[in-house]
Amino acid sequence: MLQDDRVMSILTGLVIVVAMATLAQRSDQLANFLFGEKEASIAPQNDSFAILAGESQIIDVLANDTNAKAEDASNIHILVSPSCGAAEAADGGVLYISNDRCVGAQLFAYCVRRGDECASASVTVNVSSDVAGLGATPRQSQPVQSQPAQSQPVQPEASQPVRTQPQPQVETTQIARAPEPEAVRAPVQTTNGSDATPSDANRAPQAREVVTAIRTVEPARAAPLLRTPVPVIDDGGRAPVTQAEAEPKEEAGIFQRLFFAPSDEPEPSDSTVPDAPPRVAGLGGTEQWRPGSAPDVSQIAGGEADVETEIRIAAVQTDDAAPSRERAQEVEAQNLPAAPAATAAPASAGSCAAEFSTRPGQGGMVRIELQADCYASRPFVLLHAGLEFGAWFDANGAAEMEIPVLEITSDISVRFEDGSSATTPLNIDVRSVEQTRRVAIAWTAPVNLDLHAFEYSAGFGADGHVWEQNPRDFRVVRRPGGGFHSSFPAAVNNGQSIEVYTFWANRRARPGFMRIVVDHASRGEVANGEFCGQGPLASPGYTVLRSESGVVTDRSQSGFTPANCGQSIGVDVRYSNGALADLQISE
Amino acid sequence: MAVKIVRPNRMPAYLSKWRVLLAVLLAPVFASAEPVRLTSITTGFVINGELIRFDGQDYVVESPIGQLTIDGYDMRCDGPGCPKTSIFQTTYGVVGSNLIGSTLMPELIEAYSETQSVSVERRAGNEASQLVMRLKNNTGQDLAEIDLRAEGSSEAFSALISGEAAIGMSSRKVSDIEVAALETAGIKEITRAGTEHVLALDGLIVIVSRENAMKIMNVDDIADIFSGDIDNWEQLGGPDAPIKVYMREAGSGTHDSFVQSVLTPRNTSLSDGATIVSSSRDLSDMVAADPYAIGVTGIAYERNGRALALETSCGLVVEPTEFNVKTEEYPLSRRLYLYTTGAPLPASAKGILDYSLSDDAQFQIADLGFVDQSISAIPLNVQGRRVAEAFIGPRDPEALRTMRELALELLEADRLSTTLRFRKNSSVLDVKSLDDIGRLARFAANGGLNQKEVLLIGFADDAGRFEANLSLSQQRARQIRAELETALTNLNVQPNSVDFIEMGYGDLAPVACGDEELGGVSNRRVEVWIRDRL
Repeated sequence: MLQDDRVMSILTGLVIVVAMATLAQRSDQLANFLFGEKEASIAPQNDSFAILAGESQIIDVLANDTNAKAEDASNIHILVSPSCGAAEAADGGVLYISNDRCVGAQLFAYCVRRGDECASASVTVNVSSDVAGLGATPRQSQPVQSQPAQSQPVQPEASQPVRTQPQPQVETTQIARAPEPEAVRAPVQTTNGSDATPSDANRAPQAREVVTAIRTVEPARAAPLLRTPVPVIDDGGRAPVTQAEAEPKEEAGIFQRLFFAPSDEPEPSDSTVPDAPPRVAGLGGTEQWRPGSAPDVSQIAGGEADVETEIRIAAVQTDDAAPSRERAQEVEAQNLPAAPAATAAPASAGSCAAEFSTRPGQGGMVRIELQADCYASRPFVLLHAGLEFGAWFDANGAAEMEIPVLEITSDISVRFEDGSSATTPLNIDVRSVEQTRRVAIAWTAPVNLDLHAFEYSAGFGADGHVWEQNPRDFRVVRRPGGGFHSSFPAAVNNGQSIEVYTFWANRRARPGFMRIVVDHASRGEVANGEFCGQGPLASPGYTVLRSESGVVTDRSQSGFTPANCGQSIGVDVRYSNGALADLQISE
Repeated sequence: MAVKIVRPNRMPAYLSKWRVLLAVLLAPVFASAEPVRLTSITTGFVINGELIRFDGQDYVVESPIGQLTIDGYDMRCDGPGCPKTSIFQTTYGVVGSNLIGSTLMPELIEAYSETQSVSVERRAGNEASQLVMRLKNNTGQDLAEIDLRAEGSSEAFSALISGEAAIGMSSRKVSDIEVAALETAGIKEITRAGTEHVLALDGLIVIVSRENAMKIMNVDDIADIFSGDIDNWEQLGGPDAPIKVYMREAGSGTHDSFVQSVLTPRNTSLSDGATIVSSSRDLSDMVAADPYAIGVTGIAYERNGRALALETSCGLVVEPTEFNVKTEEYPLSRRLYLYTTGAPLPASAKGILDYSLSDDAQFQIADLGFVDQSISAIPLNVQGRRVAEAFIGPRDPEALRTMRELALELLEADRLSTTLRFRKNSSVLDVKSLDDIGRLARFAANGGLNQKEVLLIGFADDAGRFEANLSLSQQRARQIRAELETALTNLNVQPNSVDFIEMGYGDLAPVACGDEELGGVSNRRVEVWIRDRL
């Protein structure tokens, strides 16, 4: 008996569970049976109204919504606010609040929440500045269920709705590109006394509206403001010393002792001041080497030419302080033709003393003198303004060269073959550099790129066409103004080749435009071989650096697009392409 | 519930023709939801929510009613959750006017890129008119490649039709024939706001070498030179040397505008002997290098040559200055345009377009020698020629007395470049003047006219009696005052906060010949002058 009771209890429980489950599954039918059919989903429809600017109005957005009821008004939510004015759910609908600035079509969207759904639609409110601007009939197609309290009567509206296809479902809202709204303007009185037509008074919004400050047009352009930077000597860790532009003569010839070391920074073991000026490099064959007498400083304004800064490099232990003979031969084998013959072995393995000095050159150049016995007949790189000027020591470990000052605040560094380096401040004639406008290009690909300057619309081959084959000399342009060209071929494979055009913009220089062009000379007139198509040298890139008065104004990358193999490269493409902007000399 | 706001169905040709690689790199950056406010540029729709992600094309936003996916084209994003950059990898063309494309557009692209902390690499193309600009991020990764082709204004519209261009450049307004061709290709209403954009103003200039002594040239003589009727400088009082005529190619905006403004009204055409040059820069340089040459180019391409002042048929001499172009009193003033089709643009193209039309770009446009649309001022003392001509004109004692009165009013005043003109035979302002009303109102709203008296000086043409013209000009000044006050009110600025003084001086101080034969310059205008409030 007890067992039977247990069975009955279990069966009763099962029946109850099944009944409950059935009830749950069929609740809709049961509800329909008990309370009638479930109400259909609400489907809001797009609306369009017109009101006067500055007015606020409750809009009965539910009036044309399918299956909407008055009580749904309390479940209206603003989905998208109008860009001008405000919309908020309010008693019986949506309260749109405009102001005087809201003239034109204003758009907002709402949804009506019922259960878990919030079906949406958009409302276009055409806000007019006057009654005449209010149009035809409203788009409400259903009877108004709850009359909104309107401060202004709802005016007819003729404009097209923003959505051309009303969406019965709410999952996707499609915005068609509507015509640009037209601002409605008040009629204006014509000169003959009649009102302009509405079409005359209306206008489409314009593409752009610009407000900027008044700029007084001066009869003549002001001369460019020249900066007057002063060089700063960084003495290798001590406090920088500002070098006045007009430095007293008494300081001329004072050497500044600086030390450099590789990354492990060994203490210098010796420091001496040389008794004699640095030796003159006796190399030939490369343009940048300037063997011979000291520079003629008499022509340099400011009288600073004999001020000298020197780095004294004393017995520095390096990881690979001197290159081995084998390595020297290896490097030699890679050298470009301009490289000098390497005949000397390193002076002393394991230690190296070097001297590094700079002094002003003519035409905004800086003269560098180097002496490093242990790097005799070895290449080195001078780093300035982010560019790398390559060169070689002569057999005595001496080197001397001039490079253009591109950045007056930039130090100059030397990097030796083994990675050791030293840095010294620029010692320059500031007033000289101030008169320079420079364009430099630098590239590493083993190609010949030529930097051309066509001064004042000069034609090809004319005197004003300044380039490697017509480099001019600073002495030529020193008085009348004008440009000169400097070339710095790569010292080793993968080294940087550099060409610089300098315009000497003194007071006599004429204002005007210099066309600056880079020609892929290796490619020439017809693209072939490795210089065309997918060839490795078809599209070499290069760095462009522009400086004005020793201040870098632009540093960018440029290059060529590859030409098809066999394609002729026209003269206009070679010498009139727009890859580089012109150099403009202002009054 | 997820609401998907879909982008327009029409896929622009350049998106299908060229490769488009969305920068998925951006997506992880915006994985954390932050508030954003998205505003539709064309419709004004505003959507508030939290940005879930932006893939370079679509915004996914969590809004109060669910997640929305919104096409990024057309939306401006404000708020802390907005993407820091919207550039994604793509290649597209910017094609058209050589005048715009060879100098101005590359600089604008670079300037825009700078605002995005993006570097630009310029690569010379295989045509002199082609430049390839690569936008790269700070790691050197390519973001966009722009094929910039400065091949002439006509090419802008054919490239928009073919889909090779996302942006067309034109130094003239699109012609009716081109509009029809665009419509046939499915590009509707290209002249509407949003697809036609005024980039800058320009003046066609007639240039000679600086070695040439000529400084002023009559417009009729110019027409005769370019048609070949005058072929030796001796005929104009110069040396016995043949005139070498240089002209841009047919289809360029410069060529077409010159022919339309100067040659066609005189029933003549370009001489077959003219040397045709396809680059504005080259043309200028060729003329500058030849003392016996003459050519036509844009005001930004005077370069090493010298632009001639134009003498109109009634003897007025107008110099091709920035100010005269802004007032549109230089007879060969024109507008430079950018055109788009209305289809979605690659993000960087849209950025470039927006930047080019922004206030920030105006100074750059001016620096490159083009004429920007900002308001300029010029004092009376540099308008000597105009003042002299104004006094030479009137013979009637009453007119002379009135002219003296005007001169006294203007002694301490500066003229603004804003000059308001009316449609033909109408009191309705023309389109540019309607813009200028808004521009001047905003200028005032920003305090630009504080402590100033603003003189609105109406003028009329010389048809009719002097007294009637005086009344008409005063009426015009009052109309402009009313328009400005309405504009100020719309900006929530009290109209009486600006000290307007309206006056009219009839047909005095004309700026154009009555027949309007060149450029349609009208004397029916209201000039705006300012002076310190006493």
